[in-house]
Amino acid sequence: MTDYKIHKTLNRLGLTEFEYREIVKKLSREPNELELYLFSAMWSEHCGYKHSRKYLDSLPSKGACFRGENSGGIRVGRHIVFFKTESHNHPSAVEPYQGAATGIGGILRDILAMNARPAVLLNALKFGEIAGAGDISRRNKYLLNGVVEGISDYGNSTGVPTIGGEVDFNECYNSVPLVNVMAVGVCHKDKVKTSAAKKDAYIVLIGSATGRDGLFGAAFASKELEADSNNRISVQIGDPYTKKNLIEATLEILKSKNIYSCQDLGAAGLLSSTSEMAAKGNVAIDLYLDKVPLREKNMLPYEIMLSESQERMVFCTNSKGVNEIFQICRKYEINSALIGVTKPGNTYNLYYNDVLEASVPVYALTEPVLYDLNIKKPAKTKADSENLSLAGVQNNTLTPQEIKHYIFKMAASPRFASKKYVYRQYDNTVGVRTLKNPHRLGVSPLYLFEEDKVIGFSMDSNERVCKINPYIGAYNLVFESAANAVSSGFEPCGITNCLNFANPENPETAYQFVQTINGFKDALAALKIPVVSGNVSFYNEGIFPTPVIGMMSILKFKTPIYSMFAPGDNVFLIGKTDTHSDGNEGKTLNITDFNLETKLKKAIFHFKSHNIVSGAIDVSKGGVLGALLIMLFNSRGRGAFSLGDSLNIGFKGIFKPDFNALFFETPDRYLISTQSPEDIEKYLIKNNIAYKNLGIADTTGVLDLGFAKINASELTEIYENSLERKALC
Amino acid sequence: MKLKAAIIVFLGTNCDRDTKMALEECGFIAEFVFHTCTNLEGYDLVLLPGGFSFGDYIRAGRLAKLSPVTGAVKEYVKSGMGFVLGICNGFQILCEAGLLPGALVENANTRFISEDEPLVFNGRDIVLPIAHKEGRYWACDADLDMIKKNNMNIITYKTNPNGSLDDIAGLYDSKHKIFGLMPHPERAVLKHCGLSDGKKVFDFIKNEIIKIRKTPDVISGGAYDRL
Repeated sequence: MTDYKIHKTLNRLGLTEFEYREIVKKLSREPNELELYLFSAMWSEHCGYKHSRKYLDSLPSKGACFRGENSGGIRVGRHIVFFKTESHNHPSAVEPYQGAATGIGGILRDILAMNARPAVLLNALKFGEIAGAGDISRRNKYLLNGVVEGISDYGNSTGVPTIGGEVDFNECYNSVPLVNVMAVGVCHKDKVKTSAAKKDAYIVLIGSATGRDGLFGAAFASKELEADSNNRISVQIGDPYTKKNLIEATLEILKSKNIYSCQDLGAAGLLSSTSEMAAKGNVAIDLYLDKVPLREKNMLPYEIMLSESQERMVFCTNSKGVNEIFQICRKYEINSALIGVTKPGNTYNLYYNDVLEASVPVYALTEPVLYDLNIKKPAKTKADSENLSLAGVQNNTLTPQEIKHYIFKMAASPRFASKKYVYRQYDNTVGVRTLKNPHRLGVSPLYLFEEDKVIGFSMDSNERVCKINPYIGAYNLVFESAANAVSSGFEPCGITNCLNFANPENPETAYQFVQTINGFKDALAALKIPVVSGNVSFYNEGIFPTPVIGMMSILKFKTPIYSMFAPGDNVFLIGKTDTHSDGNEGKTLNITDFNLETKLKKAIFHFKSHNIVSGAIDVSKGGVLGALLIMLFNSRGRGAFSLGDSLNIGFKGIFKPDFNALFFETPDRYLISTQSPEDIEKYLIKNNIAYKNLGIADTTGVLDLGFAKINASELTEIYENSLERKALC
Repeated sequence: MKLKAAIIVFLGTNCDRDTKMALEECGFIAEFVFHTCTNLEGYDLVLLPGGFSFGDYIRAGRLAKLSPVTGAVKEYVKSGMGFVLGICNGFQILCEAGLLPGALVENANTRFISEDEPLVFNGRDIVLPIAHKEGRYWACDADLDMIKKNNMNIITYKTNPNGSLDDIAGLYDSKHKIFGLMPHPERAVLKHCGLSDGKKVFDFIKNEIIKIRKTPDVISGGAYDRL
């Protein structure tokens, strides 16, 4: 290639000239065009983590199993619970339905590749503002409805329940929505399959035929979206029916002892899956591209290698296994093809009609140039308190009437309102692992038949805090997730993360990224739990730094603690009872007090084990009153109580009409409801834990705050239905 | 004596394992039968479970109706060998195959609905999960009249979630040997699920099978002529 042509090609492929020189050094020659394509995909951020790997490696791993494989996990008894998150932000911004659907497809394959049947799905979805009728909010509503329908159609068809997660809104996602999905799967510890290939074996590809969809997907996700370019061709198309058959076929294939290893085809398709197999197994691979079943004619070698067509898996097997795979695939009516062999050595050879088209050392592909980030602390801006908590910080001159008005406004706001509109579209009971009322708990519970235990999962983020102080944001985020678990009677065991940031080559973004990692590191070390798996999504231009974590926890009791109260329950605020903000910079951000959290956890677990707590919730969105409202709403309506769903639950307490005290969001606080207030008080006093008795739940159907009386039915109706009304208008 | 159930597995079926666990919990012997099977002799119950048979392409149940095992189900019905139960996608298949009247079309709100739904089953209030996008029952007036006349609407919604005619959540055939329903009784049997009314449905079916066994009736003509 001429210099000019190389320069143009590099630009198009997203490689720098420095990286090109590194490639030449590794090959001791210039790459041909196909080889250059291979490097561009494997050295993209999406596959190579070239800007993040150095930092991610510093996160604690003690207690994690199989970290570094397709998915990591946590051991529970004789089983490993695998869980991992993946982002599909870029495809979803372009084509929300397929983007979200294939996000689900991709994360399911990561779990499946470990020989774990996918058990449940969760997702964290973040959109721009949907209020109003302007073009921007119309587009955001289109994205919300498309993403949710994509997850619903795809997830439900594959028979994997979607049991929880979060849906949130912030103007910063007007440019690109966040679609982070998480899958959980279970496998006996002795049956886990890893991805390392063995030498002198065969490579078999199964599933959908390979087409041009998703071409350059990895490179596409590794740069900023351009407004007017045709990005749609880089979005894959999902097929949940084939995926269901692929899941069954894969699990049946992996029962055979003749199968050495397994990989899913995700980003950079056949290329990344087979090269990683070779690298992990320290073997050479010869692939015969003319053997790959194609869905389109005249596909070029690079297109076959980089296609991100969905619903494909690849196996390394001995000769007996090849026939077993063929047979099983016939049963499930999917393609299977012998496409290559492994050999001693470490070369990655691609043949097309017996012509050697590319030949590179495996490690040159799988070990990209890694960068140190160029970090610059952003200039100190005045903390934007409006953005920080749901309510914002107001001067405290609001009248009781104005506060009452605000309560209605908050109940209706997309951020606070019930996400029932969304989760009602997800099948959450298929697989019969789901406990009743999963949405009335701090974590989404699932029953582990294999061990007769209940484990919980949650997904959380708090970009508003991370924007102001990414270290505190990340630190508090881990504890916020832990508080969700603790308030439900679960003990945190580990996390997966999905790190959504803008361009890491921007030093201020790089600073946010590194501080986030540091915040995680310290919080995880304090809690003594590991990161088991993760995903990084850069180039989300315009967004606040948004680390999302998925936490696994395990139920410590026979039943969980629901975020509800029953008539006659006293409701206590425990922990930091006196905290409110005066709105000054610096005081709006409180870092989690680890010692206090430990004391509070001990208290809640003590109450549960002595059977004196009926419900609990951690205080987050909407502050103390927000938490109280959620308990009230959860205690009302269908399925809240097995007897008398018609109970018209209300609550009576005396509150000061102090806006900040009611709504301010700060950590280290819980609400607990109880029929035994004296026992609770005795424990709290003895253990020097601050508390306030907020009032008593009743069946008057009135939320009586002292300074205002509100019809609970009316408010509940607003809370439950306003998101649907806003999304569909 | 334990009753023996065949759980039909089409490609795309996804409630097969759930249904097996529930049936076993309710005292059945349950076996998976792949969609290529052509003989269902020896089973007391043939169960078409939920899922998305053949991707529900064209429309729900349309392709499963053409599958070899559906022919065997018709034979099974014709010869009076036992009881047929279709849950969710199974109900859709039974309607598509003409074993039950009417059709299941897209929900009135055009979206998937997943919820614990209060129902009236055989005169009793129960709660079962529903999870479907095409669960809105539709039939012509003549069929609706026939349904009423023969007491076929055995399970109805209390707060109709999907726009079904006459609140119909499930149906008996006129001979009370084929039962299809959209709600998922198999998801309300195991203890940890928190709902237990699914057991009432399976116990009811058990009694129906025992009734059939006591009064063997070789069905000829009438309702099954059109098969």
